Amino acid sequence: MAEASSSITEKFFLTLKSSDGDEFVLEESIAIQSITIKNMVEDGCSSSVIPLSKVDTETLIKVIEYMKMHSSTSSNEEEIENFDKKFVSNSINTILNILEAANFLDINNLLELCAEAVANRIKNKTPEAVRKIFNITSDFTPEEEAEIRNETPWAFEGNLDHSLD
Amino acid sequence: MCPICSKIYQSDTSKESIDDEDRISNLPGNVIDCILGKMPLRDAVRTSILSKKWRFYYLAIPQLVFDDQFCKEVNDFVAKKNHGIFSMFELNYQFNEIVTKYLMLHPRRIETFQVCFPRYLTSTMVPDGGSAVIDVNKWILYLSGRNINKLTLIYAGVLNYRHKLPSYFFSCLDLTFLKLQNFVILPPPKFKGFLNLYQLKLIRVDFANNCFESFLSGCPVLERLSLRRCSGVRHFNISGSKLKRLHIKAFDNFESISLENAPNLTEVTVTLERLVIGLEGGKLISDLVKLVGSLPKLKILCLKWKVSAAPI
Repeated sequence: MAEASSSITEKFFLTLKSSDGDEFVLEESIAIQSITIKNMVEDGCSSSVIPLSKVDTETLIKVIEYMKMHSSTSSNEEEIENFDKKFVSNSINTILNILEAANFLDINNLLELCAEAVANRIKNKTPEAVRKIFNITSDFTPEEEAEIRNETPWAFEGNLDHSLD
Repeated sequence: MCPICSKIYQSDTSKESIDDEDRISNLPGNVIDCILGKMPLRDAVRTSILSKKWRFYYLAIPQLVFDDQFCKEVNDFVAKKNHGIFSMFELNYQFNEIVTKYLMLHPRRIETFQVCFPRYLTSTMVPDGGSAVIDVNKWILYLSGRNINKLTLIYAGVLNYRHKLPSYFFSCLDLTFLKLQNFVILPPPKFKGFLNLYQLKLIRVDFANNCFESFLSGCPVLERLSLRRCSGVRHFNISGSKLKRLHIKAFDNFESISLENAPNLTEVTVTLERLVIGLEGGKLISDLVKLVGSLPKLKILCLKWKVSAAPI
């Protein structure tokens, strides 16, 4: 009886390899939150190391942290909520890295979480502030810019935030 | 394990040079859609001016939400434009213009369309619809060919006006979520139902010709149903077995509820404002709520009503 149950709960592990060449061993049940990895497992492509050429080590560590928190049966809703709150307070560049990784790995919750974090840094800001925050260079002439503003003047009205927070 | 740490350190230093790189502009389209969908429309629209790359991103957001906040923004804009003088004509023009423009210019599939009509407009609505100030029929026509999934149309007006849904509304066959306020539902004779509809919320909706039961039987996968102050619903007989949550509030002329064939119901709330108990032609209307035949999964049951005597 004991043997039977232990064989049922036997854990499978996968090895994920970052673009920097670092390998991470992770429980399969956690890793398959990524639909990309899940598909590989189902197609039998996961027996050796899974190379994630688009995800660097720093980002992969964050993604794994997230997957562990969100799959663990021991973490309750409040813990997850606090974790997410802290998670999105990472620098904007880190968030963008994770966002790209979440898209590549197809982890929808993580994608949504990071997209919201990015959106929060655009909301209510002046275009000038948004450009600075994200290093966007305008390639419009002042005339073109005025023309675009005129198309949707209602969107540019009111008090907008100039800060770069 | 430690090699990882040294690697992080390395990659950190190599990244410093790209810290001032424009990363966001080069994200895949679906990711940008997702980001823009997480902010009010007004904020998304302003991204059009960031750079040429961003010029048209905002037009492709799969969720078009013109909510109360949007109404207020348009209102503020119009007020400012007219130096603080409220102009209903101008507000109407701007509101219609913006919503119509969005719909017409949208390059891809629209997943969600939500409009809360400004109060000022709905309360001055022309009842015959002929010169209706709102272009809602035009929008519905456009959406009906667009595989819309989630649709919310809210007339928040104070008058008793109900807008009759045009027949092509019933061609939006991919609907999974529908919320309506102040409309008249009258499906065309050949309407087979919204086969994918999962959630239905109706507020002050009139089912013309008592079509409620037939309408509901055309929604086989419906799991959540909420009815508030709807009319034209005399008998409520659930034949769909998928329904899980049911919320009903105050019908006019409501006569019976039967939930006998809904084994999946877990939550039921019924609030009746005018339950009339009295002798009428010798028939006591005490069987108004024929409830709980066999509801094995029921967890929450809430019944509320005021009792009043029937007028003699």
